Amino acid sequence: MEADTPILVAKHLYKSFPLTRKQKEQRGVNTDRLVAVNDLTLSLKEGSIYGLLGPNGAGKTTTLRMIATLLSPEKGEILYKGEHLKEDAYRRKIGFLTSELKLDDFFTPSYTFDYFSALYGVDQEEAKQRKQHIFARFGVDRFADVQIKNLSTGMKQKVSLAISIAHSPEIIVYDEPTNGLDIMASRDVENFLRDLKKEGKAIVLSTHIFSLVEKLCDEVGIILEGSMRLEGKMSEICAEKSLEQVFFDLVEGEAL
Amino acid sequence: MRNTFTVFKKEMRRFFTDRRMLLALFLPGVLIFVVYSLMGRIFTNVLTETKVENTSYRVAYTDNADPEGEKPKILLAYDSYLASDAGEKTNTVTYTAVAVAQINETKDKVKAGDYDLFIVFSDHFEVAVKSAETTPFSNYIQLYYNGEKAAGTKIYSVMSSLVDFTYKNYSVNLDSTGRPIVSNLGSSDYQGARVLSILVPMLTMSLLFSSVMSICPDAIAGEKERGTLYAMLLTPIKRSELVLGKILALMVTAALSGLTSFLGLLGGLPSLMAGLNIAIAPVAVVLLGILIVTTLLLFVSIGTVVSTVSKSVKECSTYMAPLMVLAMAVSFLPLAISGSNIGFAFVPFLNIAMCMNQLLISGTIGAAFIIATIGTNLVFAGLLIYLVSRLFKVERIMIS
Repeated sequence: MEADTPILVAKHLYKSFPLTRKQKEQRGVNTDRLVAVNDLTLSLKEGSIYGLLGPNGAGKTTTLRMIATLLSPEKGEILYKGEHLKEDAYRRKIGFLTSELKLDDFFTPSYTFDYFSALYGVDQEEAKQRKQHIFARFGVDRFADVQIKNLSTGMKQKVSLAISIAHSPEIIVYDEPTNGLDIMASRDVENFLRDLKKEGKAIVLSTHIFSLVEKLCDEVGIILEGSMRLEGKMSEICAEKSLEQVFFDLVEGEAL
Repeated sequence: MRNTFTVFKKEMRRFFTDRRMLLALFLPGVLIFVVYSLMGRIFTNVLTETKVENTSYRVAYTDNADPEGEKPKILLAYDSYLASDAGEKTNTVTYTAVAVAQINETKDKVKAGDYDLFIVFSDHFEVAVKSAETTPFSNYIQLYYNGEKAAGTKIYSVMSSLVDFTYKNYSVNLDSTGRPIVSNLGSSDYQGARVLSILVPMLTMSLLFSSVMSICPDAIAGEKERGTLYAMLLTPIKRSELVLGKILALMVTAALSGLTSFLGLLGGLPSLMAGLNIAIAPVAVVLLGILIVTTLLLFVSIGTVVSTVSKSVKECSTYMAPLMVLAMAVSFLPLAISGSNIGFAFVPFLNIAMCMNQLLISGTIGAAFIIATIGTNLVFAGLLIYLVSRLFKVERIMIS
């Protein structure tokens, strides 16, 4: 496979949700469904980070959820190395993390890691070694046997990051991974993403933090109202203006 | 199957690391025991509070207890009781020995008020006692009285305690096949059973449902609310494996809860029945146990469906509360239904209440009715579990 050949291509994704009468009134629309993602295409490459930007409600989370198989697209397709994979095989390739995804407070990081490794079908010995390595990487090893409810927010996020790669996924999908974290913890996440990139993982990252995207991402896509409005290499998009300026010019231009 | 077992183990671990869950698991059993024991004590006090003074009790007994014609040990014990400081010094007693052939005639005399108590011994009962012969059910002592009469109720209450103490290794108030006899020849025994048949189904169903209410909302709606379910939905395991693992864990947890409820029932019923002067056959107790387990399976399945369609623990509890009231309300319906038409066995909740009602009033129930009830509950539980596995694939329900 050539270096630039995408490992994952999401083609012409379309997703809508039914609206209740109350939601229709609140939004002032007459349609029965809200189109969350409309004809959206994006591709991810190995050893590359793709930044997904957009205002709230633009369709970022829905897009990432479709890539992670939490939601099924009504139209379009998702190809792994140019092929359709069975859902269970595809899920083994994906590591997903979102601020809405939480770990059970009653368990310890160590047990949670073992549990998810087992569900992903990771060999016990391999899981043990991976746990040792990843926990040491995040400094979770000291708290491995402490109930998650007794950990700090930053430490919980590190445990979530560790669990998301328990099965060594090739594609990493992170939705707002630094949400609610302090500067130190955010830096840890940033460094972790760099490490994953070096390991050759294909990463898609959704965030509102422009500086994070500028520092980390190789490619960027901006979604507005469910559609991809701007996409390209970071170096090209930010050749003349900062990413923040590009984003607001696009959003305000749409508004006009 | 391995994935189902992994999920099952995780769910069980979750239950047993949460003190709230553990409390919910064992509390119903403890409550059943405490409530039934307390009720039994209250009924006992109500029935024995009657003061009987300046009375000469008339006691008949069969003359077959001792071939030598000696006075049976229990009568000597009663004499001692009357003469003791704790006894009834203002009262006396006269004993009449009757032939075994006159048992039915003597029972009629008890009903008519000619005797306050009638004691029936198995042949050579005292000989068996002296030689410590304890073959089950072949050596028995039976007490008959008229519960409508104060004197009969009083002497029966005292004599029962003395019999339990004096002949503790022998069958008391059981026939030669081990089936309980109806001691009270008056009508208040029937009333006692009626009271039991109202209280037990209602309390049992409400306590079982409350136990299910405390474990089911958290199992799925709680996981959705906390966001812990997403991580599991992302794994490569099939949704059906996930559902099965969760439901199996709920079933085991509920079965444990059911077991504690059953033990509570076993512990509390004797006190309640003694208070109401009634007895239940061992086979009826076993059937009650089976009913409790199948009822729990049905309740867990209902709870799992409601938990799956709910977005939060609060929403799930809100939906389940009316179902609990419905279960309690249905537990009263058998009182308004005469007979046990087999058709009722196919109506969930009602069939359980009818089975309990019949078992407690008559001590028996038609085999067809109970098989149909258990079958119906299992079929409904199976259908509901299938429904949950389908619901797990509905995005609108599983992903907020």
